Amino acid sequence: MRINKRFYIRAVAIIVVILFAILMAFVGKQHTILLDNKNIEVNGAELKALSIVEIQVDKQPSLELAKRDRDQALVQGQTHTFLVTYNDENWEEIVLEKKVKVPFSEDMLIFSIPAFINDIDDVDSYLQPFEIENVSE
Amino acid sequence: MKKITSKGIKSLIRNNLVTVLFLVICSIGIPLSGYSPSYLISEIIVRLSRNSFLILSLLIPIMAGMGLNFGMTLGAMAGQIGLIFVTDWNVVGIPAMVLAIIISIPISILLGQLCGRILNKAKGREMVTSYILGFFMNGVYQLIVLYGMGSIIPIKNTSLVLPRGYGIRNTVNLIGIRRSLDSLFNLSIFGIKIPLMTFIVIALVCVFIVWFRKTKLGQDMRAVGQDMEVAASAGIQVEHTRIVSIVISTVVAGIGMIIYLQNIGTLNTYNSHTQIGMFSVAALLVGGASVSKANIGNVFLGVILFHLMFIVSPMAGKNLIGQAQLGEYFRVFVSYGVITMSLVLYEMRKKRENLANAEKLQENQGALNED
Amino acid sequence: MENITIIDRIRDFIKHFGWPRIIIGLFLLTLFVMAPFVGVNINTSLSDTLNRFGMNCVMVLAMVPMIHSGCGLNFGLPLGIIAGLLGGTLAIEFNFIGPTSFLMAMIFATPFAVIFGWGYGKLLNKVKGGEMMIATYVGFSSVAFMCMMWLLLPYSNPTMVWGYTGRGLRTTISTEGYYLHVLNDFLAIRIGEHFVFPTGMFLLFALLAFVIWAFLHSKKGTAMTAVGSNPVFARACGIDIDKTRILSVILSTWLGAIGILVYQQSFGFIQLYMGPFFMALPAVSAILIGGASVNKASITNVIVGTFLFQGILTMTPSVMNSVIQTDMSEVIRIVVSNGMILYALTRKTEATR
Repeated sequence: MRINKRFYIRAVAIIVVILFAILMAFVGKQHTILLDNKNIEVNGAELKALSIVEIQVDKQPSLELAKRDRDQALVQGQTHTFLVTYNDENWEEIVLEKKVKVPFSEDMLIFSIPAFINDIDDVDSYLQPFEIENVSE
Repeated sequence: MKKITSKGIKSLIRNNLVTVLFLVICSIGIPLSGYSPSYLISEIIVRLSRNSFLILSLLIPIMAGMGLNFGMTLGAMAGQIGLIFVTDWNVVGIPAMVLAIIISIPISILLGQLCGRILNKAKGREMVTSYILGFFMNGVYQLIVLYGMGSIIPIKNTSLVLPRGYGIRNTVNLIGIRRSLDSLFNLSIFGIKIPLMTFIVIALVCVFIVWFRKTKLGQDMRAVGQDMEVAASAGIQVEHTRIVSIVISTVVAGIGMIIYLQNIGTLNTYNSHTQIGMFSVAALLVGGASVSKANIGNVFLGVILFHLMFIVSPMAGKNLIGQAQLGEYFRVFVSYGVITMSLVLYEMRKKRENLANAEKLQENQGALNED
Repeated sequence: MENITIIDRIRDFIKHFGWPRIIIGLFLLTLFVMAPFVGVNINTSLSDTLNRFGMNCVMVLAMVPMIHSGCGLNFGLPLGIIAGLLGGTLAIEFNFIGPTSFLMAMIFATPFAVIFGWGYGKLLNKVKGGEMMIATYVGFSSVAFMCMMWLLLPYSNPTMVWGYTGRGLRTTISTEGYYLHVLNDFLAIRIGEHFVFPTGMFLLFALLAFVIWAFLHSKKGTAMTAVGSNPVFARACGIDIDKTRILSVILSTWLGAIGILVYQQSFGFIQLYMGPFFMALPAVSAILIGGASVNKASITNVIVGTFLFQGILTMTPSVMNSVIQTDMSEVIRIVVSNGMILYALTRKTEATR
């Protein structure tokens, strides 16, 4: 009986440790997010790049991207806030903010700013996994 | 025990011979090197935070009478395997360290069990056996990391893998966890950075060791260390206790290696662990420990003195003879020399004590016969 | 009946020979059998194996005296190697050339070996029971000490010192023009294109092995064995234990010195500085593979062990490379050699002391 109890305690302890390890993996997982300000085609519609745009990921220093610029942000964890500031045709400043969940298993993702502005709720349209195809081989 | 006290002072001096020698070497070396005190102090603090944890892992097997555990390299290997996985999964920061530690612990326990069992078969020559075991497991480690990883064990991060498609590269950049523990709470006094969090972790291990000594298991271990037969007749499971002491040591060494490498920032996949055992042992001995006795104070004093010599000697060699190389060979020589000297002194003392015990036994028997 | 006796005999043989040795022997045999099928030239491999056997066997022989006197495995072999290095470099320094240089190297090495061995033996007498660990570290610290000495000693022969500073010995010194291949080429027998039998090396080894064998059967030699196997009995017989042990250590150290010279004349280079650092381990494991234990060793053990060990070292890279296109020989070497030492250290029957 005593051995049984001990066994259960051990089993629970091991499960807790494993859960904790998984939690650590989630919290500590690093993603590289490429911030892209280029023309992009979404659902057949051509979206134009912005002439100048400012983007801030989480609490990192904000980045300024001109047309066809690409920059990267290293982020840690699973949900991230994107804060995009730009001027529309009427020179009015528009600020968009959104919390996005990043797929866990992807190391590198591409974030398209024009698509983000086009439809802030359609996450799949602007945040996509990025594979390094041409570089490695 | 009473009889030893008069000899105790003598042996105290003998034990501290190594420490005194080191004080002399350092006091000659420091002015010769021309380093400023603030540079030296900040270097020493870095090394204290880097190495203390690893050296603390040696204390418990000494308590159990198993000598200097050169098998701590096994723990170092486990720690490195944890780090490789964490780097591959692209986990960073403190969570990465915790994750690496969690991965390393089961491997350490397994290796510690193995080591303990083997050492139980080689009672009386634990040190040389654990030393060779370190070499042996290095071969197994190479087999796993150089041939297994990337082929059998999946590694998806291509920058970790050798161009041929499997096996980990010679150096792994630990940029993700570099200094993550050290820079968690930074304190700066007179421009000298103190990695407070690392020291807190080290302090926790010290507390653990002090507490452990007082537990039932700790008491048993000391009894086993004193005399295995007496301990066995007192109902202590000698073999099991010895295995546990090695397991704890291996686990602590694994964590220590992770802390050590987060400070360094790069992992030399096939070299980092090989020298660790030797340097840790030498540092502990310099701090005044012996094969059979060591405490926490020895660890810190040892790190300070040993690494002071390490920092100072290349520059001192250069200023003295014009060759930095000489200083480097000198410090290698001193590291090995210290271990040799301590081992010799220990064996000689043991022999003397045995002789004294035998004489006492004869006297007692003589007294009995007279009765 | 017949069957049982054969099985018994096999069992006896296995027990006597030991499983690890049989496994290693079978492994080597497999390698030799496989070699022709994977396109490895058997003559070259055999020739290489013999050559490496000749290179290493004297150093393995250096284990024997110390094991006999109960000093355990001679992890302090680097000390003997250093004596050999001193002899070799001195012979070159004084510009002896050709076979004379080899002879002179041996002569120069001898006093160093005797002095080192004497001091080393004295030290080991003070630490009876803990010899092996201390021997390891004596070896290491003497190598590290000599690293400094190689930089400082006033050698001046331009073939040996660094070109630009004119002082300090190089890390590797070629023996070409001095004693390169003096033994290898001595009466060498060449069969076919690929097979060379290095007679000289084998002759020297045979001579040394015979001397050691004869010594071990002399009065002094039996006394040495007695000291090793039963110190109490030896003392009762009036044998001076400490002196006998020192003699054995001197012998081992001297053989180590000669061993490295033999090695160099075939290898072609003198390796200084950290070169001798890990040379003890292959020699130790070779004799253990040959069937020796921590306190028992014979000349046969030396021959069998060196052949098996060096055979594996030569065969694995070539055969493995052709079979699986990877060179795992380094890992195999580490695992086999250290595994063998571990096996010897952990055998219950020998943990008597």
